[in-house]
Amino acid sequence: MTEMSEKHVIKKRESTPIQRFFIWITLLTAAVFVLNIILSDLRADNGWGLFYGAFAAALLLLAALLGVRRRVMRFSSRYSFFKAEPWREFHLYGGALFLLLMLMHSGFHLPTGILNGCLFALGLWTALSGFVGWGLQKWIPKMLTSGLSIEVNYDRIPELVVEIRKRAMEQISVCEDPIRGFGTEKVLPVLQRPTPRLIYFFDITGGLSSMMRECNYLSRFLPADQKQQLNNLMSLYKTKLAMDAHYTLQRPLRLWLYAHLPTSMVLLVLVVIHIVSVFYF
Amino acid sequence: MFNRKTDKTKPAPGEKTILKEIEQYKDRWSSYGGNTGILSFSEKLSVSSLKTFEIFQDYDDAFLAKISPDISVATWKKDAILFTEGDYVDLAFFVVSGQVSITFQKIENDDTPFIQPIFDEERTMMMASHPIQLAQVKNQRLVKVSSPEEHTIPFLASIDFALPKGKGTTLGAGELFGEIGAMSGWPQSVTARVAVESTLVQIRVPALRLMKKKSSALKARIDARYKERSLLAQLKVTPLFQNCKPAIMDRLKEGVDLISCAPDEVIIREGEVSDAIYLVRSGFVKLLQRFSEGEMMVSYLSKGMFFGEVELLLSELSRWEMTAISVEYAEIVKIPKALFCELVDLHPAIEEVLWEMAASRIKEAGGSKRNIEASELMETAVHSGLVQANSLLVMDLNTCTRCDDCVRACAATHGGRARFVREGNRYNNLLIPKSCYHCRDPVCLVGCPTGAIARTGAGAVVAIDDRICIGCSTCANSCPYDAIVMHPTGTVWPDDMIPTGLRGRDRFVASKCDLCSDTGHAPACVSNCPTSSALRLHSLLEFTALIKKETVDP
Ligand code: HEM
Ligand code: SF4
Ligand code: SF4
Ligand code: SF4
Repeated sequence: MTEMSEKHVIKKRESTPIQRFFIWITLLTAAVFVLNIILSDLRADNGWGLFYGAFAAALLLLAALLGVRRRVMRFSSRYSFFKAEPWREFHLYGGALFLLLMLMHSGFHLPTGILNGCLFALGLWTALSGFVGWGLQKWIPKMLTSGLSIEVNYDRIPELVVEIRKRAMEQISVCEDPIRGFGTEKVLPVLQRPTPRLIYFFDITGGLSSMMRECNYLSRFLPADQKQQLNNLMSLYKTKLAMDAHYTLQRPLRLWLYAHLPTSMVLLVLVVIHIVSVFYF
Repeated sequence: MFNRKTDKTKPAPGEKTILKEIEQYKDRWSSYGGNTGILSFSEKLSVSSLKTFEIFQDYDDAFLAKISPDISVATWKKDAILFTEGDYVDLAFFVVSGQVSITFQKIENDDTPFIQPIFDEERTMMMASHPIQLAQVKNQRLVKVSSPEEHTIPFLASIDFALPKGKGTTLGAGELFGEIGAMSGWPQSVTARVAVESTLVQIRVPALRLMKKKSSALKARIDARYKERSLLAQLKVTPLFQNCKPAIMDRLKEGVDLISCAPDEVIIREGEVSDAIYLVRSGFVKLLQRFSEGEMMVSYLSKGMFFGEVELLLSELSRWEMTAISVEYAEIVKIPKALFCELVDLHPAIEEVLWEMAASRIKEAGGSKRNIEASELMETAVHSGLVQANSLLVMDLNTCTRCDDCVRACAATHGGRARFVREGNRYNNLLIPKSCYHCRDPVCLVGCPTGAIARTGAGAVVAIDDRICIGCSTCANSCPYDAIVMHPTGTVWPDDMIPTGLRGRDRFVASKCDLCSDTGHAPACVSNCPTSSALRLHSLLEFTALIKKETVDP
């Protein structure tokens, strides 16, 4: 396509304003840090250190607003400001910068005291779990999309598996041996319920090929109509494996938030206590 | 017109409100003109009363009984507006008595650049990205965009009357109008106002199609009117005939045949003797070519596009190189070979343009064979209804984190019930969830007994007014894309309900995407996706670009 496509809405994705904003802020922070090292000590309780701490706390608060937006959106998106994507971007870059500032605030040392220790550990955990989640969100969708031909809604998988099993049983009931035996012994047990298996992380087909070998071997000795019956059965089997793959891989997409969200909330509370204690004592 | 109230206060069960509203909208007819201006109204007419109108006299009783539900008669008072430029009207008007004035105001002069035609341009791009094809859609320019909100959709007008701007005409007893826009599913290009108190027979599209098919006299009459009022205007904006002298155009007007196709009708078949060149007046046509074992789709034509030019030019090709099939109801103009040759003799420039068109077609066919994937994509696009879509929700599965925020946002903006499911056809990395496409020709509107499902205005959003939906499922059964779901309301119909058959039964309501048009915000599904994986597309080009893993501004 020539001249027209440029006129259209298609654009290669360039850096977003939020990305550019964070690049500048990070550069500025780095400059301040260099000045700090040249001009003064790296301590939490001097002006420089307090600046890093206050900046980190502000970012923490802003990052946590993503959760507020998502919750508000659930009861009315009339109150959800701007598109969701800039919020998420702000969260990712802001969260990463928070980690950097927290380390600068602590002077790249392990802090002393229980509260400070907890703050440090939780901050580290929240940011690192955030990075893990970010990675999962990038990697798993690609894996699911390129490796599987079906797309399925996680919550619907159990009911769909029941449906598949029902159809397989119907199919088997009209078959004779050896398909009947093969179906009852090898296929039906697999169709019992959604089965998350680690293997899908490495082989998205879930070891389908070895089962297919067995099936092809069996198929060679069958007349044409029975071959068709076996094929039908195997296509149900393949669909079930694809669903298991979705079940296995979509699950961490949901579960990782449980590693991230609660600690981030505790972190927020501890930071408030930390700030109050610093100013009062 | 179609000024439906937007407040969604639901009547409590047993309340008379719903009955009153149904009374108010007692038929979908009276909503034309915003319920104002109708002095008397009747519908469900008996066969004998239908026969008193000239337009129905040719038909037998059984046929009239069948189409009667789609016919009404109304007496309109002076100055009532029947429709204005840009309105969608799914019926034709037959003047029994009185006068209707037709005026043409909004479309600027012919040089106005169109803003963004929705489909034809894109298809043009798919074909050959040849500027010449673009000219074919010149007169289908954008006429009105009601607001800059994202849920309004630019659209193109049908040409019902070839009137100069500011000029008008008056139609009297025995005239039929509105049928061209109605049958093509395009908005009206003119404004119709009742000049003196008038009685009009109003015929909905399904009845009109049947009537046209049944009676050659009516077909001849409608065709003659089309030739007289709009054919020349449509032809003049095609690259082929744009600079032709009036004498040539008159010859053309006399000699062309007009063909009406039902969905899936073969217009020409590969291998048969070629005898004409064809112009798509409305609807969609796909071109197929034999390829190894089966057939492959090479092109897809919409309003204003020609086919058959290659065979016409290359004398060694006396047989069709392609099969053309209507994808849905389509209106075609057939220019017989002999007539065409005569025209070329009179105006040799036509041939040059034809050569350019043929070259791009051949390139396109060759391209399809080289790029089978693109051809398959086009096929998918046609079958998944993408070409029908004014607004198509797609999700990029490569980036979608399956968080369901899109579904939640839709539910949050629609009383807790999402208007789509994150399931549907998949093409490469794109999921096309089951959400309303806001079709160009929304078949879901046909047959709704209360008019609850309608295009809410010129913005082309198809929405359901749940206050007058009686939950009969007609729309849900008609939608080819499973975009409408029936929900139980948990209440039963009151004892004084009309139709009486509903009394005491569980009350259902039809629910579908309304493009968030009531919320005053952009579509919530799109704006709440944290990874911008959910997009609403308005063209085939955007779809192909996405497939090629380019990104599109949502
Ligand atoms: C700095 C402290 C941080 C806090 C307080 C925090 C807090 C949160 C909260 C409240 C959510 C919303 C969860 C939900 O609504 O279900 C969230 C989501 C998320 N966080 Fe963090 N987070 C922090 C740092 C990070 C970092 C450093 C990263 C990675 C760079 C990160 C990556 C994510 C991601 C990817 C999500 C999911 C967002 C989505 O898909 O919409 N977070 N975080
Ligand atoms: S409900 Fe179906 S037919 Fe009607 S506009 Fe939407 S997608 Fe088209
Ligand atoms: S546009 Fe609005 S109503 Fe339609 S699917 Fe999206 S959120 Fe739902
Ligand atoms: S909101 Fe976006 S990322 Fe989440 S499920 Fe919907 S399309 Fe996918």
